Amino acid sequence: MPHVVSVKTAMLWGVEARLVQMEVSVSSGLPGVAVVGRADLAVGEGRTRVRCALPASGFGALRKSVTVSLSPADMKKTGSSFDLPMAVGILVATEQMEPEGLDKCLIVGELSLEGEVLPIRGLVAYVELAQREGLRLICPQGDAFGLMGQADVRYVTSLAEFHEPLAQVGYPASSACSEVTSASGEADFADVAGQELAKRALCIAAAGGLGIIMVGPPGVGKTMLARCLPSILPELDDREYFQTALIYSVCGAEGECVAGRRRPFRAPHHSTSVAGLLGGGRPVMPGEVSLAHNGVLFLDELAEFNRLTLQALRQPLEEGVVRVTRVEGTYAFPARFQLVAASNPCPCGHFGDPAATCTCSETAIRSYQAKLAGPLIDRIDMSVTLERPSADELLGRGACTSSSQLRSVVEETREFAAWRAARFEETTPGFEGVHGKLAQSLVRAGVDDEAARLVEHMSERRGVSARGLSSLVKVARVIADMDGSERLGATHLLEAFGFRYGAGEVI
Amino acid sequence: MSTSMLLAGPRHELHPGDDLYPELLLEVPDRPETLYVVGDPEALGRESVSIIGARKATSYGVACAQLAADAASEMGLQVVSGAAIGCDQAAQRRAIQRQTPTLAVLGSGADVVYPSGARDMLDTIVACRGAVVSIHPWGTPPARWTFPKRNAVIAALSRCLVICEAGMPSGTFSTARYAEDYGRELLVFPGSVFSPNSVGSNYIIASQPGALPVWDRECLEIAYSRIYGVLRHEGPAAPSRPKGLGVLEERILGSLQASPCPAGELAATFGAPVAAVTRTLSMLELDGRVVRLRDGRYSLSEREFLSHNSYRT
Repeated sequence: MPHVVSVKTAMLWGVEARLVQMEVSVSSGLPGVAVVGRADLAVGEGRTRVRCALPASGFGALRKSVTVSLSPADMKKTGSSFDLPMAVGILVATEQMEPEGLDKCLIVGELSLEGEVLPIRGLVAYVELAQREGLRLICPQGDAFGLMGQADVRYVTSLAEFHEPLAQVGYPASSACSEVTSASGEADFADVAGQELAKRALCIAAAGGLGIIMVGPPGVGKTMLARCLPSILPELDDREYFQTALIYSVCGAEGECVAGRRRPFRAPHHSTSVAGLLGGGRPVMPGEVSLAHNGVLFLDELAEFNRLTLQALRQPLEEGVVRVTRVEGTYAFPARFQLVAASNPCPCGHFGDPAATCTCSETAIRSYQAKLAGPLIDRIDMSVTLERPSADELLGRGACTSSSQLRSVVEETREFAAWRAARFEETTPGFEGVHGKLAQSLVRAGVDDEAARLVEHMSERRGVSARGLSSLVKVARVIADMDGSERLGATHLLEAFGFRYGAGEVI
Repeated sequence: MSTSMLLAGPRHELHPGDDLYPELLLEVPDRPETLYVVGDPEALGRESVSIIGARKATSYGVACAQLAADAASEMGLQVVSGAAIGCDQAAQRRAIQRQTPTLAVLGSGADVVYPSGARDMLDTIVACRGAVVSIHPWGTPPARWTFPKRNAVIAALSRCLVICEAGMPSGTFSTARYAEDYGRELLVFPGSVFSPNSVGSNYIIASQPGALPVWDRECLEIAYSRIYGVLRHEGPAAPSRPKGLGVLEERILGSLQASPCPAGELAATFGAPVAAVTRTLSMLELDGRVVRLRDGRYSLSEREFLSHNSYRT
């Protein structure tokens, strides 16, 4: 008479954990384990690990024929998280363990041949699933990013612990971990001498969440400035922190940069493939843009990136979500990030650099700059040119703004912007009689008469395109918010004009 | 090579001994045996000024090229140049604007459009009594080694060679050398001590004994008059500098006159907040007084440069 035991387990699908029902049936026959239910190689190999781990942990060796079925049967199962539930199922089915409480548990974990329970990736996703389903999670110890909350989580270190009744297995996980890392090791704007113009631009970009490109000769501090950006961004709120921690947990990536609720900073190399940037692989994992979710994606040497790679960035930039489609379905990964790019002005890097001679031909410079203005032009709102700092600045004799100064500006600006937007909703009935997106954005930005005339002048006399104008208004609006001004005036627009992207042309 | 790349227009081949073969070319020791011409071959016989300069031109170089072309057209002289990006095209486009015929000497075959961005200009040159000239057979593609010979022809075709702006190293050096070898007059616009784009032109003034620095429009016109024996017959429209500029505006404009400068450096020099300097520069840019160069530096606009150098009566 075959005896069937049900164990609840889960697997990762994209950045979420999906519930998998595991049934274990023991019958007489040749000893062995058969797994059905679209299991891939890693799941299948678990059979061997379980067979070795059972006697190593002091349980009886397997002398029966075991069938393991995974459902839903049409979903492909992958990963090594099924080892522990399989072992527990066999223990119950062979009556070496009592089944009490098994239906209230969600079990995941990988086993070593000696019966140790090994860590798996995606702990945050499993915790979230267990909490949603009202189950106790039994899992290997791992970094849950301090997100235990109210969930009932038990860490187990070896299969031998299952000699105890199920209710006493493992030790409760405390949520008081990994909230420690201080911000001391973080890059600070005070470490970059001079570059006040670039700091101002980055501060505006941070306050408005705008895309920005920095152009300048090598060694002037572009990369360093970009790395400082997270230090002036506001902390992640609860929802954002959960989303980001989930992605880092699923990727098994170092979570240091999000601990302490700092926003992530990702700087993929320009040789990164499309799959590395957007997500992909087998199993499908989130890419760099998702790791930068709620944070900063920094593309250094923008012109060196493959054109196709940059093209692929357009969709996530527009939608805030990456969709990776595979035979088994479409994965959606969140990817809402602030884009920061840096580039040399020309292939050799010294175009316009008074300290060195540029050796590039005119055509080489043109095609290089055309690359910068390529696929991402409508996703970058600002540009700033960096110059070599003077000796005085390097020796710390000039002005030097620090991160803490800028952070308070960013916070105040964001607060003011939120207040202004809410007030606008209250006081303005709608856009009656205002047609076109640009015209509406002008109304929403609170453009005054003088600024409106300036917009007209830019459009008619300077040939600034509609897209350019809407970027300008966006940037000017942030500058006005920084001033604490509800009206967007000409001075705000003029400063924004100095940061416009894709300008500067002689013959 | 596809036909759309080729330049349309009447084609001529001139040899020494032909009536239309330019006399000035006959003088030089290594005169070309065949001149390939698209356009009006008569243009080769008229008096002209050769105006050249760097490809990587700042608006200062462009303004100089335009000044030289302006003065030439007002004195009834044609403009000869190499159709390259930067100073060459600035001079030739200005000549076309002022309805002065111009000669483009190419490093490729005369019917091969190079650089490709010059197509509209070359078409206009052929249409407006000018000519596109080459010593290379029809259809020759441009190559590195075809340009020095082209430079020799540019130097030889006029009594006077004007150099607008040159960095270091520069192709203008070879043209200047040919001009001296052929006994042509050499006029050079000096540049700022601090501008890398002017190192080459200043070097030519210092190192070539025949080189004459040109420091303003009057000086240029006197030189043209002496060389060609003609007088200016058209008054320039002297733009006056409008008043009513703020202190910061005046200081920025004054500072940019020497050489182009990035915004951050201007702010540091004047000890002004970067936001204020950015705003002022934007205002000046929208007024057409300054331009932002492709390297991000700000420079006076061509108009602003020319307005500082109006003809004094």
